Amino acid sequence: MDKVMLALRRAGVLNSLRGKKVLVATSGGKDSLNALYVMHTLSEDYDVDVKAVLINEGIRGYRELTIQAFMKFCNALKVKSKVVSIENEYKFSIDYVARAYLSGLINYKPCTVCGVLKRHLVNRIAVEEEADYVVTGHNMDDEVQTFLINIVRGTVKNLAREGILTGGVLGFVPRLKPLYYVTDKESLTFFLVNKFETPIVECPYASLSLRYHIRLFLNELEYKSPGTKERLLELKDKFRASLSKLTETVQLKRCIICGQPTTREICRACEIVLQVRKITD
Amino acid sequence: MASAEVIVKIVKRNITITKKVGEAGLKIEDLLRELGINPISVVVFKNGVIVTEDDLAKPGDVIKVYAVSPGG
Repeated sequence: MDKVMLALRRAGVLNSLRGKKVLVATSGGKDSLNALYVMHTLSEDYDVDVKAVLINEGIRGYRELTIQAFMKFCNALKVKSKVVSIENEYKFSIDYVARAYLSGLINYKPCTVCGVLKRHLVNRIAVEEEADYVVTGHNMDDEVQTFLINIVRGTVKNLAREGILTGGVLGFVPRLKPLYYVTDKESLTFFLVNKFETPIVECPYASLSLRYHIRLFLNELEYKSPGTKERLLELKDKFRASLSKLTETVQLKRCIICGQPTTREICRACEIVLQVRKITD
Repeated sequence: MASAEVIVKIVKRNITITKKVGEAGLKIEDLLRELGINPISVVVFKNGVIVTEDDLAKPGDVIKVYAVSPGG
């Protein structure tokens, strides 16, 4: 909990949480359920209105198992919750996208589509719910992996966008990551020690992503040189501070299709949806 | 000989392995590496109690290994 409080303090939100509405975006996995638990715990002291949402990507044999864990967890905490389906919203599932990708019909990896559409959907729901913050379960490992992914891809501007608290401009509901300083291992330990339950399952498409390989690489580095992840996170935060001027120059506008904020005419989510629908229609 | 073995349950893969460790026991870190598991990526319970990798697995112990899954 100390690391959570540190993250909230550094994000500058701890003293302004009182009376705020928070939407916790969960997957039903350990990190996001931990994030939901800590926000629920804080809600008593800080009078925070906590709701939870789970986006069902439509991955058979995986997501339906964690939905059950999510519902059970929310019921135990008496937190209002909802499950929203990508298939209902966009008319195709991530299973469909994965088959299309593996058949060479589209160039988008299922993990890319999944990530972009989940962010798109969660932001829309947060606006509808009038949430002050979207809370996610991203932990230190996720943040350091993203840092390395951006370096590998050369997407320097993205480096400036990642932090404990992001968004908050032109329709982007601020995204808060209370587990920013918590490692994967610490998060799993907290989950198990508290006897929380979720199925031990892994997304069947995980190994298609660059993140999967970076994760293995980082864990090997951490084992051979303890403290690697923490040092990389510090480096990332220094980069972010020095790159912040780059983001200030980015002009945001509304997507001409969905109205969500974007730097382009059509946002990435709508662009992906249009591409996938070309093969589904 | 059963008394010089530990039982290792790897939860994510749903498999149970019996491993010889010798009477003096084996450091859990070394046990994991022998099984091809990076200690950074798991949380280990010994006889139902959470332990660090510096702990010893001694004959008769039941070691449960929980892997950190991506997409948590």
